[in-house]
Amino acid sequence: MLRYLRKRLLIYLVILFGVSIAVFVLMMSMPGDPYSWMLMDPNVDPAYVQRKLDELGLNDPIHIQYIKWLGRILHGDFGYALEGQATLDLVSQALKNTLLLTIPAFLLSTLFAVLLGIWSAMSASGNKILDRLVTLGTFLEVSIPTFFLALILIKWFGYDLKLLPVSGLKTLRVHYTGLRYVLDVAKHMILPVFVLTLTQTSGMLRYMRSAMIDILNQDYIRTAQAKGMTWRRAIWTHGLRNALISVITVFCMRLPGIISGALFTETVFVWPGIGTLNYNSILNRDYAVIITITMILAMVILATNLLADILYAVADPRIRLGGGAKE
Amino acid sequence: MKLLEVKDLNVVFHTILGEAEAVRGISFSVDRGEVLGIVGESGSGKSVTSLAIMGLLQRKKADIRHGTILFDGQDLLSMPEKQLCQLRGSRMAMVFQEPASALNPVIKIEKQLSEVYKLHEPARAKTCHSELVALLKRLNIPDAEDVLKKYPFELSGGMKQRVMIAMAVLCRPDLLIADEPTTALDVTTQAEILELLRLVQQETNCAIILITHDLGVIAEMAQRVIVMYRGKILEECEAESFFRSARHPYSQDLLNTRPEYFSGRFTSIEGSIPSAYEKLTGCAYYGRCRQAEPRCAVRTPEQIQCGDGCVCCLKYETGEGCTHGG
Amino acid sequence: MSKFWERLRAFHGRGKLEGEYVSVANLSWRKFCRNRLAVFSLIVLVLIAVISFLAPLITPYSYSEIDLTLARQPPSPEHILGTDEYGRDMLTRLIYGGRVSMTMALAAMLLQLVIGVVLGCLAGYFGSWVDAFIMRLTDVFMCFPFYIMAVCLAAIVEPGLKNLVLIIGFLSWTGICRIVRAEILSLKENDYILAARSLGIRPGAIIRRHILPNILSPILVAATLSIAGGIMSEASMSFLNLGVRTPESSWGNMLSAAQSMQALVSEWWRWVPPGLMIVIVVLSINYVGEGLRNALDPRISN
Repeated sequence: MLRYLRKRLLIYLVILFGVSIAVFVLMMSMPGDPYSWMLMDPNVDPAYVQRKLDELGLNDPIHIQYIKWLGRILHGDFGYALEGQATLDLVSQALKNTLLLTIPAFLLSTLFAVLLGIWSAMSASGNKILDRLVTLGTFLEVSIPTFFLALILIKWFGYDLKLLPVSGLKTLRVHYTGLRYVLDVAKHMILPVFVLTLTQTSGMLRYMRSAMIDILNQDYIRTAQAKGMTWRRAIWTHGLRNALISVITVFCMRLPGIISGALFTETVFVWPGIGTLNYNSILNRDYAVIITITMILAMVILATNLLADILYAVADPRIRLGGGAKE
Repeated sequence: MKLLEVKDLNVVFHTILGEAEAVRGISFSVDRGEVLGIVGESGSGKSVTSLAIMGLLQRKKADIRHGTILFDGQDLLSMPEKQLCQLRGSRMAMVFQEPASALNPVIKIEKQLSEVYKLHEPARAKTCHSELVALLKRLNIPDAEDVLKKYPFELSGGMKQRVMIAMAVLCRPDLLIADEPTTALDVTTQAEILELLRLVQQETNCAIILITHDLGVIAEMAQRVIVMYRGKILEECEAESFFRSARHPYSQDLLNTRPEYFSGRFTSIEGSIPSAYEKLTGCAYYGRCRQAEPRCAVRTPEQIQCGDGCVCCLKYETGEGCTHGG
Repeated sequence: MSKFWERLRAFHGRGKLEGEYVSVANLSWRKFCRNRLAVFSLIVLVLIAVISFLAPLITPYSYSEIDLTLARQPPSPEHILGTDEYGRDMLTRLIYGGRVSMTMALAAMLLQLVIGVVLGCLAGYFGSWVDAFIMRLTDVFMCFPFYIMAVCLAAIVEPGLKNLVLIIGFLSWTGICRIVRAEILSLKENDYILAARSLGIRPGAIIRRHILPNILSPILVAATLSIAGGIMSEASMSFLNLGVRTPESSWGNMLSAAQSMQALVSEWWRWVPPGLMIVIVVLSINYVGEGLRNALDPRISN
């Protein structure tokens, strides 16, 4: 297992290097730096501008610039937003709010996906109507744009029924404390989490279902039946574990998707997370914030991929014991 | 009463291309303690027959049209699932062709073995460790303690098949079905596994249905032989007389393909087995038979009692040529 | 298309049916037709596509002409789906919008297909460092959530039709690349490929003549599904005003009307129809894709 993990870790370092280059290229191609525009201004001495640019290292050869930039990043210096705050603070605050949405949504959709996936796969060979319904549901659900679903829910629950708050993280101008604060936030979370859960479940559900259908045709299920198990029991005791191993990685790999989904959900629900921050930064052309978001998210995703690898290795004895059946 | 009686069994598969008749009305029986060999090419319906006996055909895809399967006098086909489960694994057991995929890859051997006890004799399940070790030792697994702690992927193919056999005989079944138990193994291991099956048979006196396409395996193990072709039994007789003087032209052709009959050049049966989708008239072997006559194309032969067994060929309709060695 | 079926037939050989020989292409088509939902979806798609592309012939109104006296009218016999805040006929804009959305999705699909297939072939066929490099490249791409990256790129280049196609294509080739690579890896060890290699046939020719025809089915399915992805991406980006800009209409930028509270709460005709169109089209594409997947997979018999 250690050998496997070491190998993966090495790959991740390479990917991280690639990511940093990608972000750097992105940053370099973003228009403008704080001083260049002054060159247009006849009142400013061009020499002063040049000196400032030198100070910032913007006249260095590109690879030196990259190394300097990487050095700053490694020291946690991601630059400053237009309003003067450190972008890292802004982004980490927003990230916390985003995680507040995505983690419950991820857990809920995993739960639904696993249960419905098993149910659907097992009924695929008997009660076809059930399986068809689940399949129809997943298809319908991947075909609805996240924001369209969000808009419909806002209209129904927010305006027509006036049941739930539809924007923000907490009620404005009211300062709840303690439990009432938690309840208030929870109430604001309901709709966004529901939308995110719904949009994430179907993808996972399809994986779970096909993994499960795969398992149903495995020889060892037949062996278990030959031992005297009913079909159902054979699947629960022998199939489930194998199915879960094969979907662990896939589920964790979906995190970028959840964050993409969160971007829209947040924008529509005005939830103060990464998505909203990103969108506002684009509108304000606040490039430092955008770069920081990109970099931080890439690192978060990389970390979850690593977690997925570790989980996979722990769950599958073939990897754990170094059989090396799969890479 | 025979241990197992199969009467007029008919299995149909539903596929996109239409219905495929995998087994077309076969009847045979197995005595207690007898080793019955079933031979045939792939696609002849041997495996389907064995799965039908065990009740392991997938209900969605396969349909048992008619027929009865009596095990110790009880009708398996009309038996409720629960009761059938009690029989499976305890009174009748099965060894599969691919030991590599038949064992669950993520569960340790010991747990997979003790599960059989858990299902049939729960009281013994907790304390069965030493029994398992003894059984594995008996099956020529030297480091039995070690093997029990391992996962299937850590064992060789022969080891896995031994474990499968151990799993099958744990509860001392009356009937053991071995579906091509040696096909996936290399030659030296094949001999060892056959030896083990013989040992198991002698010790527990169970009946064995040995399914194979290898006549060598039949010669070594079986007391009686059934030759299947496209879902039908073409010939059934004592093993000894089968190898001395098989009656059906197909059996004769099969025997001639054996390497022992190598005479400078391998003989083979020309053509291939007709697809299960085709509706056949006449004899199923007609297209490939070198002794075929025009009437074979139109008339479907019936099973004819002939000497110590029966045969399904128009040639023997009159009862001529039935006596062995003649 | 006939060429495709020919190649498919050459690959799969022939299946046999009750004594009569049936080509695999024919068999796949039969399997597809059995799936009534897929056939129905295909018909719906063709219908919508035809209507959209004949837009100028069908609609009496202009999609861009502004007439403020007609602004925000609810549905009426003259304007079946009402009008928007500039008095433009919603049905007209919906039909034109479909043309834009579907063309963009098709173009983005082609782009990602080209990138994905080329890189996938290189990685799968040549292996070693080429493979390692390309795979790490896809890993890097997959580290960035699609929309974050898309929004970033849209901020750098000017938003607009062409750039949006480029962005979607540039960001979503990884899926097809991985599929192609995996298929080639499993195909490469086949004897006929080894034979071709030992005959000294150049890699380009082997890939074109022996490998690509054999992996057409998964590519076809992936391409179909990526059209659905393209429509969704276009809608999302235009919704954020980072895609198609008015007066040009697309389903996504029509939906962005719902960002105004008034339209959302009381003028349903301004945002529900384009949303529904997206759902219908994407749903149909997904069903067709699923039907194709089942029909082209030789392992699935039922």
